Amino acid sequence: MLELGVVLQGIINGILLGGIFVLMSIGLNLIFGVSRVINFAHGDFLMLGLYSAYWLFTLYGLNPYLSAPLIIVLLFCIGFIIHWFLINPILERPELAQVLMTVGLSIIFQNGALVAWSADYRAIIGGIVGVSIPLIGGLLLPLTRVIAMIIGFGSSILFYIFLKKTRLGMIIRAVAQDRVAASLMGVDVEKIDRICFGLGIALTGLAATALSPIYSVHPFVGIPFTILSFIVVILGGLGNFLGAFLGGIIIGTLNAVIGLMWNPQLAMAVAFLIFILILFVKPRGLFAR
Amino acid sequence: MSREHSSGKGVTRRGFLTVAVSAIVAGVVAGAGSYYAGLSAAPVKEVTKTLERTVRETVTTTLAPGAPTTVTTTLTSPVTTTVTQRETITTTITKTPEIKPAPKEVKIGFIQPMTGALAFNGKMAMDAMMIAVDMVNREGGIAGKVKIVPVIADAKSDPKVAASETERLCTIEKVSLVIGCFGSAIMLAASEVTEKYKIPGFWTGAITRKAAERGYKYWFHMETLDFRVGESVAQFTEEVVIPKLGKKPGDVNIVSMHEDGPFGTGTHDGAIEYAKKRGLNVVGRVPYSAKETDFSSVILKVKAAKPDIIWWTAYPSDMVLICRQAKELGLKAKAIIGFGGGTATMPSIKAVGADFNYIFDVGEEAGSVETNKIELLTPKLRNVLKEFEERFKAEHEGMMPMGLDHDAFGHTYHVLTNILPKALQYFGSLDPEAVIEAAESTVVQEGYGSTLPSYGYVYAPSGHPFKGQNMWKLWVNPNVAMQYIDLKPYVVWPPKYAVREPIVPLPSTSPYAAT
Amino acid sequence: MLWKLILFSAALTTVIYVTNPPPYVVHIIINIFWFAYVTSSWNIVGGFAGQVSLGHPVFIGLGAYTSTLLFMNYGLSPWLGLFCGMAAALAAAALIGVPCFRFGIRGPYFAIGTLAYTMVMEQLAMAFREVTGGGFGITLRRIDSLLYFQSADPKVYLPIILSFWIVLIYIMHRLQKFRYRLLAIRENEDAAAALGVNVFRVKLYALLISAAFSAVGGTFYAQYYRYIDPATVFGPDLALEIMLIAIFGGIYDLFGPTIGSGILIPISECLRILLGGRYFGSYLIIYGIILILCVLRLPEGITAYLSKKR
Repeated sequence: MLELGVVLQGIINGILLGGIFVLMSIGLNLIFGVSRVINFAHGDFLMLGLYSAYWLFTLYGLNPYLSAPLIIVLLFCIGFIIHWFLINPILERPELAQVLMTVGLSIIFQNGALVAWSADYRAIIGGIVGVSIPLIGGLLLPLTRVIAMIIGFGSSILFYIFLKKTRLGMIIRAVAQDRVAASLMGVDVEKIDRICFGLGIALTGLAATALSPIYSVHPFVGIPFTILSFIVVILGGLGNFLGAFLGGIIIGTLNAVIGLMWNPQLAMAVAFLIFILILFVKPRGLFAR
Repeated sequence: MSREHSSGKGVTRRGFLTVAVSAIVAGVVAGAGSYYAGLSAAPVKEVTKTLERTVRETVTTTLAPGAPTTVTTTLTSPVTTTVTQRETITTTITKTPEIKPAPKEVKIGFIQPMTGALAFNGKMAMDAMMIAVDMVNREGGIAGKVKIVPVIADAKSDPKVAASETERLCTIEKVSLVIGCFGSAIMLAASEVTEKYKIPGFWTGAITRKAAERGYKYWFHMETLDFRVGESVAQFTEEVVIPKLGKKPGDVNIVSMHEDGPFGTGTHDGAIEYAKKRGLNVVGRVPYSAKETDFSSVILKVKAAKPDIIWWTAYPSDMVLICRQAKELGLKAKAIIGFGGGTATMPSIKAVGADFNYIFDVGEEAGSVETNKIELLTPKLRNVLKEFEERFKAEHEGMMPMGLDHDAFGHTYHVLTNILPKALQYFGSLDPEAVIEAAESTVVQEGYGSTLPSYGYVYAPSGHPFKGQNMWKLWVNPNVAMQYIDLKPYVVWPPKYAVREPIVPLPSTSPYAAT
Repeated sequence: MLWKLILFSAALTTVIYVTNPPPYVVHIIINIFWFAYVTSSWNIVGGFAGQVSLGHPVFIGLGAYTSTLLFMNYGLSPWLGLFCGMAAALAAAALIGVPCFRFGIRGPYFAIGTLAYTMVMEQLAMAFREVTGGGFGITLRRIDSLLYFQSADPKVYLPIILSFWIVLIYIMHRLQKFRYRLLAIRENEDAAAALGVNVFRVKLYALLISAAFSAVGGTFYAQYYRYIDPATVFGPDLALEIMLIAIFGGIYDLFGPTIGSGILIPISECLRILLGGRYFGSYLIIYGIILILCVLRLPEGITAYLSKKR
């Protein structure tokens, strides 16, 4: 049987992995969770952010954590523009149109990246990549993942507070709850939509910066991210940032621990099965709004 | 809310959950139990026919044009070390060639996955193949007479698309033969179609033995098979790594870690079979899905087995992440040996960086002019190799071609310069039947193979368990072991082809070095 | 209706047999109708009932693997194995459908839940390789006898898939009341319940029927391509493709998915032929652009637009 130290390390890895899942899904929680825009291109926005971080690092030597503000602004603009021209026209239409639209976007992003930057796997190396903080008992804490988790946790809390307490946050929630009523109250619904979407993509950009020292960069790297993000968002309850945090940690820890104690090939399967079971008990997610 | 909808069934949530959870737990236990029972009972059901080293023996025949042609090929493999059987392959073809005017040009289909998950390797391989086409066309084409018109198909890393594209190549473009392709699932799907339409297919870049066991008439495989790669790794471990550690085979812990597709599974099956026969101690086997986003459990499992030597088959996608997480989680070993694939893909290796130094890679992979004993090749082939490398580097911003690229180039070059000219010469055309007869009667001992020890081609005839397979790549050890120094792969084994001494154990500059 | 369908199929088949076009063209047509069949089956629960499911690869894959494994290991003709595949898919559908519909899991929750279901099956198929062949997939033994649902002549597969398609469309056409109930549920579940529709049962039936049909589609796939592996038949890519085609064609109409299939598949094939060889990936970019333009102009799918024009 496995030693206690190994199991503990597995749990630590799982929690950190969960933090990463949370970080990945934050933008989607705002876009899909709050404003209910079905964005199947989520992982590909992450991919674009990853490429941005990589190129800024490779061409200009910019440390990814420092280039975060640039990437956030860049992705906000991209999100803003895409919403204006592509999402807004179909908002009044059946939801499924959004599926078509975002899948189309996803295809374009992936293959655009392929044509522009080829299928090479790239990565940011050096610095704190691969470095771990040693703890007592031989346990190790991978530094980049800790940072990612902290950023994920921090953003979750920040956005929770933002939505609940700030004026803009409340307006966004109002629009999400009832567009007609909000517009009757004098809110420029279209503008709020656009800002919300832009913010969501910007958040995704932040996630990408924090993830860039962890994952390799590749045109098709976004596909599993999209799936995982949707699962985390649903598990936590649409729009619920703290729920998503808990949900992400659960999935991550299950994946790591089950993979370690049993079989890595089935770890995700078990985690997903448990996700489905949790849905049975809590059909609106862990903490439904 | 429509939750407690009365349908008269009275299924309460708790009742349902109890049943469901019990059922799932029971199912999981039963499943896990039978899985492990199955594992311990009969891990590899297939009989491994390992065919040993051969004494080169060739038969050449000269034929007068217009006369009935008989081409007889006999090759006998002597039993050397541990293995199974003496084997003789004899193919006799008698055919009267119709002397037709040679066609002006020939359409050849090339299929690779150039988009999707396998895009990277597929695109490189296609580039390499096109260089071969161009180099042959420059001399006037096949046998200096028939221009090659390449038709390119993208398999999109999807077997369905591979099948569609091969349909198009065979029935619309009407190619005379198909050459491809990276990825076992892609190759399996595409070769189903070439068999259906009776178009000869020549394959490299996928090494699953299941393909060879189908006994297809129109399938020719120029590369080695997966289990042979595994055996080479095990051999290298036994002959070099373990002695350099100053230990005996039984005293060393080997842990096998591999992606769970056909490539990883097949290669490690072969390695573990060999290990069992030779008394090497494989103490753990951890398959994983290359598409996962986290490998911490894999790393920890391998670490828990306390490996001295790690055997590893990776794809480019998982390689970078695994190397990073292995460093983060403190995975240590005395030697890490790759089986090709990810550990032979230069951009991925560069993405890992200096940490990758001193890792071994065994396989069909060749290094470059710089890292191989090129003087063992004939002058003509030396020049061919040099030119290929120059052109490849020019097309890829100075990146040197890796083994898979050498394979793609070399095997295509072989088809274009060994098989097709023969079809023209002895059978007067490049029709499918002529190409097949030419291929089946081909015996080459100095074709440009992917690695210096392995240049040679003889295809197993009908009735052989591996019909269509280039047996040379199973008889001889087709692989070299390379070690990455300054991120370049230098051949370190077998001794005859080595340019450097292997460095074992991992030196302290490597983050994976055991203290 | 039935006669129109039969006439159309008979005409198409006759044309193909008489003109004997290149096998590649036949292949495209078979592909179109396979997707038409599978997406129409998806549409029963995804479109008519409004319960978007990303779990249909589970049913397709179970159909494919069940009939194939019975064929490879016990020599059972896939015509019979087909029914076993249906049974497996029905069980799987019940397993996810009963709790989901019972506990009111709908909309995006149902979609992502079924997506997780698909991923689970894919992993199981990869992991238990002694049974399923794992990543190697299964290459079907070549028997070339119609008794074993195989044929050396690819044209034969066309009337087969057309027959399946006819059966599916016709059954759904006849089940008018059932369709109305599905429609009511899609529009407003609670109102439908208030009107006396047994929401749970209707949804479940929709899922079960859809699963059964999908499983047959899986068996056909295995017999036609003669090679299956977990990533293709159990993969999330397939789930997205099905949903994409159905939505594009129009989910409200009986023939919507068929039309969607008839348009999208030739477009993607043509694009790949024209551009796939040289500018890798660019043909997909154009495909994506076409999708986006169509959504902007015709957000309810092609058939909705066509019916408005009429």
